[in-house]
Amino acid sequence: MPAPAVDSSRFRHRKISVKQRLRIYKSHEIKDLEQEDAAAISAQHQQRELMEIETGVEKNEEKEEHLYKILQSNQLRENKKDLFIPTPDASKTWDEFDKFYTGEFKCPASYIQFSAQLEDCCGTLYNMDENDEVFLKELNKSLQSDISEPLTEDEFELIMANFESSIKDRQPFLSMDPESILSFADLKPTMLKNDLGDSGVKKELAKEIGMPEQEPFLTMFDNQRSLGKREKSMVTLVNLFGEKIYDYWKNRKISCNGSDIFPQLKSERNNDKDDNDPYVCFRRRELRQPRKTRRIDVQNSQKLRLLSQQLEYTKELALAVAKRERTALDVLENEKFIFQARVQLKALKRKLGISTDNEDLYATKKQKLVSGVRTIKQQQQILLQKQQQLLQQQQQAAVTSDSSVKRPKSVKTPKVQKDTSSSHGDDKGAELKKKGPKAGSQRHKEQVQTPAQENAQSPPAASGTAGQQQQKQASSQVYVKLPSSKIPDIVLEDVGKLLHSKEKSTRKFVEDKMRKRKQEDGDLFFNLTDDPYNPVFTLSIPDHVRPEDAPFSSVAGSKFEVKRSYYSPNLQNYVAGNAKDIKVFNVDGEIVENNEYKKVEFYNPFDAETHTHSQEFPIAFRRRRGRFNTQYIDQRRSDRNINDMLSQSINFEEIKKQELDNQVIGVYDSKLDGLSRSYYNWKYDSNYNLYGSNFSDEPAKLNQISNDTQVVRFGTMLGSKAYEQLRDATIKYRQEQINTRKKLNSLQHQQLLQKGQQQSNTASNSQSSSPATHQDIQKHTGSIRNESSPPKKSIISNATA
Amino acid sequence: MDEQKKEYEKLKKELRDALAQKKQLESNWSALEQAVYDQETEYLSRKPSSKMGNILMGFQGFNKSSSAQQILSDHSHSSNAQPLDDNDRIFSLSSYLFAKQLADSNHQEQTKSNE
Repeated sequence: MPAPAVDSSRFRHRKISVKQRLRIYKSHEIKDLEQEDAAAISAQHQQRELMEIETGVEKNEEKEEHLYKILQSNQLRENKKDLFIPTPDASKTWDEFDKFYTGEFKCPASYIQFSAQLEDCCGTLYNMDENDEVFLKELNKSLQSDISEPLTEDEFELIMANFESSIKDRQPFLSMDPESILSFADLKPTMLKNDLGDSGVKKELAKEIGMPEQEPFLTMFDNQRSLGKREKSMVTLVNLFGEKIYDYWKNRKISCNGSDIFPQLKSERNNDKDDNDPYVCFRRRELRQPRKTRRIDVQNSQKLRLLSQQLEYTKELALAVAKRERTALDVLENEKFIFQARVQLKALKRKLGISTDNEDLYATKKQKLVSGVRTIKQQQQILLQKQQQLLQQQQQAAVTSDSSVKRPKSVKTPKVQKDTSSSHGDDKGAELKKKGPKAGSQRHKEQVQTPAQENAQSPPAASGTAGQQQQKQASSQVYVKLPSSKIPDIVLEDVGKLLHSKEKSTRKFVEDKMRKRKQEDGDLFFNLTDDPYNPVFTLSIPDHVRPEDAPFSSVAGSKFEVKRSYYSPNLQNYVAGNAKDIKVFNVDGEIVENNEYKKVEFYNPFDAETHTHSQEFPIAFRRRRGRFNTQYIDQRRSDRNINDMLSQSINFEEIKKQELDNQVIGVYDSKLDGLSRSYYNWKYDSNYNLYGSNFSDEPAKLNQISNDTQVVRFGTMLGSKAYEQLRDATIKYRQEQINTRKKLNSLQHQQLLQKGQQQSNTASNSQSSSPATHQDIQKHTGSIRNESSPPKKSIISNATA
Repeated sequence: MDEQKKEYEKLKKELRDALAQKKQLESNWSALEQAVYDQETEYLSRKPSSKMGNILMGFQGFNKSSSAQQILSDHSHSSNAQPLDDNDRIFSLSSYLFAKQLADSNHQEQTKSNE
């Protein structure tokens, strides 16, 4: 390769290698060179330089013969009319086309959709050759006698393909030793397993969708004609022909040295590259290995995994849809059958003259099919409702737990009550004994709950109970809707739920205990401690006062001047101890002849020793000690019917009648209202103190003045107190006003200000002496003096001192 | 006559069976429809799929390196889930009944909003 010296600067001399193509100059070409024609050289130069210019064609392809010529001529601006890239002749038609392509093509309304791969469409991966044809003909001839249907070419190919793939599975290295080929019996199970034919694939599909096995159906890959054809399944084919074909196949296999009978395209195996083998069809493209990092690896595998998940999921969905449609088909068929059966039945029924029969079999009212899919919106609504329910439940739980927590606290109250109840024995002259109506006690229970509820809602009190915590949690719980893919599989324990269940079990335990206790007590006692509102005290009212109007609260009590006790007609006799009409009862409540008792005794329900009492007391008590030495008071149940006792004082009939008639009546005429008012009587304490005198009289007695004087005195006290407060407030108010005014006005007004102060003082003085306010205050105190009696006592004693 | 009566009884029994079967089938059907709907909801609301694409949107984004990072980092923050468009439910919508139900509910909503 003689390179001119001039070029040496432009052309890098490369090492001569085997891979480098070297140009061979022929003799006539060399002549040119020898002439050293400057023009020729420059032309060549030019040519070379021009080749460096980008042609827009891939570098490898530039060397293609025709293209190369064109490019060169282009660059040299030569005549290029007779230069072209040859293309195959497509101008002729092929006569035999109709023979081979028989399918009918129907142009679809939409785009032609096709997503099948070549392997899905080309049928069996085995094509018969002329040897096979001969064999098949002979085979069918020999079989004609015993089998009605001859083996078709397709079926033959299917079997052959199966043989090939099965042997590849079982003996991948058969080509090493072709003679060791497996026998038919050994190969058969493998063949039956991989059913590659359409029927096998369809069978698999049908199984997944849930179609009955023998029902023909079409997939998108099938053409219309194949529906009618009943394909033999692989099992039948192998059973029928397998053995006969096996020998033939075996011989062919051996003659091929164990490699595939049907010639395969040669491609490069993993690493053994053979550049020299011209028959290698597909060569590996040599790519520079991209630099791989671990992260990219992870990313790629992750991506692939996601993609496969996606496809898997889509497949599942498609299958589910197929199943749904399949069910829809069943429904339709079922419907059709029912219709036909009904028609037949009706006809028969008429014939037989049956008139009475199960009508629902013939119910012809057509029901429209409605889809009942719960959409996301509906689901969300349902979820919302559920959450609300849950919240309510939790609140309720919180409330009840609170009240249950409160219970031990209330243990203390009965202690006090016990004292009062034992000393309440001086309500001796009682004629009417009344037990609070059951409804009343229930009402009280509700009222117990309401404060508890308030408790729960108020910021955590000193005792942070579990219920309160729960309550707080319920209100602060935020519901975030997670996408279902993000929700972990494990069942999460909800703290609220845990607390709730704990609370529940505790309550159950307590309830069980209580129930046990109750059972032990039987009908004899009931727990007064835990139900302290159950009234057990006796009461009596004057004849002209209706029980629903009777004032029992100490507050209201003062409105009525009690001149004498209504508990007993002749109280003074009882107190003096010379009463003659004392009834004496024994423990069982029976009247005993009375000789010794002239005085009503104090009733001590815990006094078990005494067997007789001057009063028929409907209630007996029992005291017992619980845990932590807690005292419990139980009440013995009385035999008397509560309703009987109640109806003595309350006219239930009339209430009922009034309510039924629905008359419009005033509050005080309404019997029901009266009844409800009488419930409230129990809320307040008795208007009698420990030793039987009226509470409203008590301070008067202490001060040894008459009740009227006491009232006036207390009223004045309140009045003067109120006045003092009023004066203080007024002065303060004026002072403030003055201060503001001071700020506004300057020193000039100081004199005026002083005057204003004097004025204000005189004004307050004059107010204090106003009699109207005084009287007003007195009036008010009349009604409240009882309530505030304890402080009054001390104040008054101070005053007297 | 006797034969007819026998046939009558037989038919009646068949009909009764068919009615029972019908009930069963219809419940199956609605269960399947619900299952498809639920699965579809899960599929469509899957977060990574929206980045990488799904069977509806195609997988164009699959090979983008940026999307790969998103896919991987997606697990950490996955809020702002877009509400599903009901028209995307190709699987559920392939059932006539569901399509009808959807159209009805849409119609109802429209009338409601009009009011």
